Amino acid sequence: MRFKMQYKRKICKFCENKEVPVDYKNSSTLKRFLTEEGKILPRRITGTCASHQRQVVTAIKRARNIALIAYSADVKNV
Amino acid sequence: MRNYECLFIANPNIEGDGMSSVVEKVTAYVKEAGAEVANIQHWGKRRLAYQIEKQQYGNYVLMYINGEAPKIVDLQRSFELDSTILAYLTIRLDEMPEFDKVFIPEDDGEEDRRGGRSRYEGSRGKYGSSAPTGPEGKAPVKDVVLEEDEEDDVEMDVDVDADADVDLVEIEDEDESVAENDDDTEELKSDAKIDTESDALDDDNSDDDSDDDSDDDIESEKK
Repeated sequence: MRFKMQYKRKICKFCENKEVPVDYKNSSTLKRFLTEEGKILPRRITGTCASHQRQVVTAIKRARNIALIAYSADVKNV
Repeated sequence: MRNYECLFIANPNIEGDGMSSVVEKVTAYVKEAGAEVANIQHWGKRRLAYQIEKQQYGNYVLMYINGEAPKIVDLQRSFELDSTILAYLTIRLDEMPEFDKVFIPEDDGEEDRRGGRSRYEGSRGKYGSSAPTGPEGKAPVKDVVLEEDEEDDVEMDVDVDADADVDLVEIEDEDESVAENDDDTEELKSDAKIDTESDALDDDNSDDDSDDDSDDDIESEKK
């Protein structure tokens, strides 16, 4: 049997699928990069590459501004 | 001339013809400011992620504008003064998109509230998977419990094999395709080790790996 070290390498979702734009309007995709509380997930968890992470962060902040994404989870309704 | 994208939320109590008059008013603002409206798209009434001026819903309208920066500032000022507009967001674009292909999100606000954790069904733990996973996400808990017995037996065998290399987490070449599926799920080293073992199993059993993974999670918690 051949063996080799296994690296759990995560691949940036946006590099993987280039058709998906990093856009503040695409709130359903952006929600994957948030915790349930609505905090932005770090790169080490999501595996997003550096340049896309920067885009994701600005997109999330824009989406929050225009009420597409909540700033924090609504405790009453969750 | 620069390209701008402007998304604004109008009061939800405006219905039918009211909205078209609001849009006319806004286009008038744009012209007053000396800019041009290139395209307008109505998203309709959507649930807001949080209340704005005590409103739960809002009429979203997306506009594409050509104009100079000072004029856009004027436009924003008229938005600010208009009481029917709850919120607005203006963004400078490098180039105009194709208007037909502009992404319009579905209104998933309602489901999120009612379903609570529904969109995180596929995830395990707080930082679990970042993406909701398809088929395995809704695997009923019962199945997991039922299969546990078989799992235990097989895993014993594998443990004997794995004893040969205690420190290294090793795995066969072919497992990569299987391993990709649970990229996000395991963060802990202990999990990872169990994971590789079960992956090795998959080759023998040619099972669907999704159920195995959820088993692993349960077992690691026990340990």
